[in-house]
Amino acid sequence: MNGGGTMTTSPLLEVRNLDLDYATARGTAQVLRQVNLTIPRNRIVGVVGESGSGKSTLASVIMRLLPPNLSRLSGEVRLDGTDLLGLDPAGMARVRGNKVAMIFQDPMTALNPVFTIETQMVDIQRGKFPGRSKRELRDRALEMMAKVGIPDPVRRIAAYPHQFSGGMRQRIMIAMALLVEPDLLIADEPTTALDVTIEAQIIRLLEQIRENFSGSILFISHSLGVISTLCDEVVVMYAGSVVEQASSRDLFLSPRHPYTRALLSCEISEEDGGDTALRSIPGNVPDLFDLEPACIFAARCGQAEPRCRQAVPPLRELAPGHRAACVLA
Amino acid sequence: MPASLRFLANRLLTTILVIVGAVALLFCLTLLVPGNPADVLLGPRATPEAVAAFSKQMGLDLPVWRRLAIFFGNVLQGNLGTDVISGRPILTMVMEVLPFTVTLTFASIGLAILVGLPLGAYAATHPDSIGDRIGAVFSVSFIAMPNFVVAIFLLLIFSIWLDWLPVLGAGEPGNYLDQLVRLILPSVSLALGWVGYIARLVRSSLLEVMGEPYIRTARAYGVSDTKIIYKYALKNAAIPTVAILGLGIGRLLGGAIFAEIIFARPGIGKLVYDAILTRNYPVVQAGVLVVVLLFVLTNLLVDMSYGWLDPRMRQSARAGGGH
Repeated sequence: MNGGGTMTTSPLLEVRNLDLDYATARGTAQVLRQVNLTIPRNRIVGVVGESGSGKSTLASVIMRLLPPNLSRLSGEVRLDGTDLLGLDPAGMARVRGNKVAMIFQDPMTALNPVFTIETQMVDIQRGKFPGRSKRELRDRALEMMAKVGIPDPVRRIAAYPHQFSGGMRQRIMIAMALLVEPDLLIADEPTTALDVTIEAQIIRLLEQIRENFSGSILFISHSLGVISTLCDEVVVMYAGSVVEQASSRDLFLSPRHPYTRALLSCEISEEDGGDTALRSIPGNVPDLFDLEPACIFAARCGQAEPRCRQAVPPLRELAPGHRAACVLA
Repeated sequence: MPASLRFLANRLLTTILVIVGAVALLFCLTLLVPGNPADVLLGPRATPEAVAAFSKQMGLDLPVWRRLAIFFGNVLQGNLGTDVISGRPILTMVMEVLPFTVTLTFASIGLAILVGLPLGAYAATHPDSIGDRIGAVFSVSFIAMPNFVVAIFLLLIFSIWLDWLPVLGAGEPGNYLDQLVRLILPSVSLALGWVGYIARLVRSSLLEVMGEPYIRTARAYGVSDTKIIYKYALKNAAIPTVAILGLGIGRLLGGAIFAEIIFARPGIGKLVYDAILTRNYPVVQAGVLVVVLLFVLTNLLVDMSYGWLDPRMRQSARAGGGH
């Protein structure tokens, strides 16, 4: 990547050859396999995939918030050139809430139930703005609450999380993430736990935010529809592997990987609704405990050939900025 | 009436009911004890006339329901009667020794929290480390050891063998340093088991809380570990710990009686113990009544503290108040 892009600025985040295993009672689960992806500056990159595709784990790796049953982690996660996997815990703590911030999937549990919003919104800014007084941090929080559409911030800031609705809590989480002005904002399925109407409101809010936000956003979702409205680029993940990365437009107009095509046709049939039967991809997601050295999608792929089952296809650049891991593409 | 006030009123009402029940039970207890108190107090050589006169003076000749009514009326007025042996008002006797028991109890709880809490926090943040394992062994041993045994060993080691600390008594009146020094052994003997309890409770609740998503949120924003543990996690973990602590006050008060007897400290325990030996029922009743009051009031305080610890409790008390 570095050799080719002499004219462009270096990307904000580069994930290279990332492998991650969890030790479980059943054995070793290969949750991420040779994941490669790039997040350019000032872009919104969507990661799409089914449950268990490793997209949330990818976010946890970037934040280095991993569960204790992690048994293998190798590769590089370079943020502004610094390999996050090589940082000591203190160094990583300085990255969190400073260069990287995260919005979590379930706003109902992501806020501490026994502290006021004010306490939490003030404390999360301390790492980024160590010298500022509590009063200044509170004023920033009030301003941001108004920006994300929380009515009557002066009164509401003294309330506890349970006194807010799910949608309002997610607005608070978004406000918290924006307060620390991160270079990279990770949104891990921020609308999955919400009602459909609230989901639409939050998506609209994120669309507004992108106008003024100077950093990049990594937007994780299982819905191509949501991704298409928000993201500049899309990364498609399947069973722990990146199968395709392209600009939003290229991906939706000319998907190259059979899995992406299958996913798109499912989504389209869903949106058409009506008399067409709900389409699905035949077969099952591969067992992460027992992976073959073959294309991860070969078992469910209609076009699979014998060579697909002989080696793991590498992610190849098919057109500028459009990469897919398929020998047939 | 605001709902939070209604919660308070409800809680106060149940507290009063508990106290009324305790007073009635206390009264009944004296009926069940074998032997006529007048006989016992006056000794074997008293004449039947003297016994009869004394019984009349104590009100023992009246029917049971009248005695119960009188007892209630007196308790309500704060009149616990006059001690037949010393001739002093029992309330004065109780009030004289009450500060010693309260000091001992609170010193023990304070000590137990001061030591048990950091121990539990350390164990929770270093699970399965050597420190955690050693802590677990000590905690369980402390919990398992009856506190009168601990008290005797402490006396033996620190007062007799090492001669570091005074043996008995509560110290000279007015000499606070002397009083403090004499508070050490009794409060340590009471606190030791509670150190173990609190350490184990804090460890398990903290471990659970540390896995909650909101702790991950704090981590994701680079909030320091110390702040996460001692501010964000501990307040959540304190809720179950405080609940157990509230119930444990009763055990602690019971333990205080042993400590007072062993260390020859004045206090409610010592007062009741001496009164039992002489079958001085009114004093026993008064002492037990005060202990019951202490227990009920501390539990009331503990219940009130939930509202401070957990704002959701205020909400649910509000929501449940109408039913």
